[in-house]
Amino acid sequence: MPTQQPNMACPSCGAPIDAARRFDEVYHCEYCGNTAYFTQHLAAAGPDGASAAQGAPIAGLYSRFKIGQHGTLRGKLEFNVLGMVQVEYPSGFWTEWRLRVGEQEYWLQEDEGIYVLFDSRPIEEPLPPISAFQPGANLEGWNRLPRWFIIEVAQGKVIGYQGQLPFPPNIGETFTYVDGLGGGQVISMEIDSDGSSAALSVGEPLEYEDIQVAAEETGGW
Amino acid sequence: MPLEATQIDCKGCGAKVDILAGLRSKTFVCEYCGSVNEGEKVTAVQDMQALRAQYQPWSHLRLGMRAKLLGRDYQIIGRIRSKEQYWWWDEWLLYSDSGFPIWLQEGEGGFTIYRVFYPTYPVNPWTAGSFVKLDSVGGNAQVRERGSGEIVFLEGEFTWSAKPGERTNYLEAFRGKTRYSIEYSEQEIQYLRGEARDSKWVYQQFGISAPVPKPMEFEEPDEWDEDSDSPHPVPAVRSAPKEPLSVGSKILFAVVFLLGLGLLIFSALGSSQAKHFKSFTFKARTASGADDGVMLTDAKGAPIAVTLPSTRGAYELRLASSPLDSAGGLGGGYCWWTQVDFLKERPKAVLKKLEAAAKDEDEAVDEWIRYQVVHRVSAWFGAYWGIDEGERWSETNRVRQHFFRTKDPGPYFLRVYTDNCADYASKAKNPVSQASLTVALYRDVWMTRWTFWAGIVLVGLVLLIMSWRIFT
Repeated sequence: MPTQQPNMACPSCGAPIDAARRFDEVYHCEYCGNTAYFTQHLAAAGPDGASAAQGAPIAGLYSRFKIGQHGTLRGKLEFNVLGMVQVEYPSGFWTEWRLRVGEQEYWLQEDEGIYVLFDSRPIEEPLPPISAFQPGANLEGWNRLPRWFIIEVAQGKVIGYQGQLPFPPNIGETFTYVDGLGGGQVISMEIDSDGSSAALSVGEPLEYEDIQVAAEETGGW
Repeated sequence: MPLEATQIDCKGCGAKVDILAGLRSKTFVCEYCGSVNEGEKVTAVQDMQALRAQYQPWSHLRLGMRAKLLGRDYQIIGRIRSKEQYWWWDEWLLYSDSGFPIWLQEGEGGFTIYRVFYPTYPVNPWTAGSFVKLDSVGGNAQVRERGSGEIVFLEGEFTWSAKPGERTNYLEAFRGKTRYSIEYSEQEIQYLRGEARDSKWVYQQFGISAPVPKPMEFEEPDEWDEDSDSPHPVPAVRSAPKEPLSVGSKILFAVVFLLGLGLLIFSALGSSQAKHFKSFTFKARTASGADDGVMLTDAKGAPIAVTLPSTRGAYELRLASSPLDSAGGLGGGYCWWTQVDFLKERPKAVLKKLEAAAKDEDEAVDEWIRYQVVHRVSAWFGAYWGIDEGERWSETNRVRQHFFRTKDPGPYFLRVYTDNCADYASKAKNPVSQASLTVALYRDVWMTRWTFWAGIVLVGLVLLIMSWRIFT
């Protein structure tokens, strides 16, 4: 059960906030639907007051997950669903679910029935030129990663979000993403539209059966 | 439980269209006006009435049908008809209420249920060979097809961007009932893993009681009339691939192939049969210092009759001396020489002519004039010994093999002649005097030819089966 702290409340409606979220920069209230941006002291409301509409609940998103839900990964690691970001890309949509697993938080990507639990990795070496990222190409010896085979390069766009997230998403923000496979892992990199910064994640693919969601009908494959 | 429908306005005609995949729906086709909607745009317009008739599904599956597949409830929300140069196929998109998509690829021999996956060993589809390995478990999968399919019709909705005229490269492979499909373009490589299911099973899951339709006969592509409104024939396309050989079958094929190959090599090497068909042993007699050698064939020097059986191959003549012991001392050696002749009796007319000619020349008629030498084998045997740097050494040479052919099987005469080597001709205690010579005749395996033909049959059988599996 989420723990609550009496002096932590939604600045909009006063509903209690899960204490475990006290260091988050953005909080989406499940009760009033408003989004609040916080300083490190969890005090200030959103700077431009426009976030409530952007962060409106996303309806009709068929998924095994919903915010506040809990479950286990591979029958061992308990998780809670904190928030989500919906991304559009040329071929469709994917969803990034923010999970809390123990004391850590991860992104669980859900895309066309496949799930990948991502953890962020620091980028310690200069980024290769964008021309190096072509589907079918191999990237070897960069940033202490295993050799990885690039399977997709395209543009993504944030189209919505919900729940509690570690950063304030910018609706409509576009970025280039590069997905690859290497060493049995999924490697994903998101590069800003102007190429000024990038984020690297390494993930573990999970089968449908690896994830048990509370009160879900179990199925096999 | 059916998926909950959300209504969206078609950007083409404004009609309310039911959407079942909710926010994940990227493309939907308006069933009224045929507009292919993607986001706020209409990317294509289809003549639904004509195209539905033209590209009707082969099976009884239809949009909206529901089934419990592999433990979950699914509903058909979309269908794509793709076309290759000579064939086409349908892919049904099924969606669960938890947002889990699967694809039912429909072919003549059944269905394949696919889902997207990340392979442990990503294969580059542009450079993949005939076999690919994608999973950490299981062996290689055999590539059975690759090409480029064009979307010619779509109905329903899809969680990805799709429109008529789009082409997708694909590579398909199989291992047992496991199927792999790689769909790829310059922007993306997508891996799908699936399981083959027969039509009857799929029909049962959908609760369809109608019998599975028989596949229509394939028609030659040049007979198709692309402008015709009549439905295209469903060809024998993407038929269920042959099951790969079991481990036992592979071992059996390998053993048969190797056995056949071995027999061919064996026969090609000209190895002889293990058992001789004629063998004679002669006691060596030295020439006691005389210049002439000694006829060993029999005491009177008469040749021995030998019948060579009919054959198209070669005979082996094996000459073997008995062990030759050294005579002791610091060093030395001896040798003896042998000549074996195969003789053919001359025709009487020829013999008379030769005898007459000899008489005319006033020459004595040789006792061997009645024979003609048709084959001659010479060999020598010896033993040498000595001491070299304090080490005693010895060498012997006591077996000789010779292959020969003769065109005419039948009666022959064998004549064996021997003599000491010149250096030892007059030695009284020549050890050769204790030796014996064995002359043995072997039929070559080529003579019976069974190894050759057995090898041809076994190797040919395996190659035939493998060719049939690969090329059909």
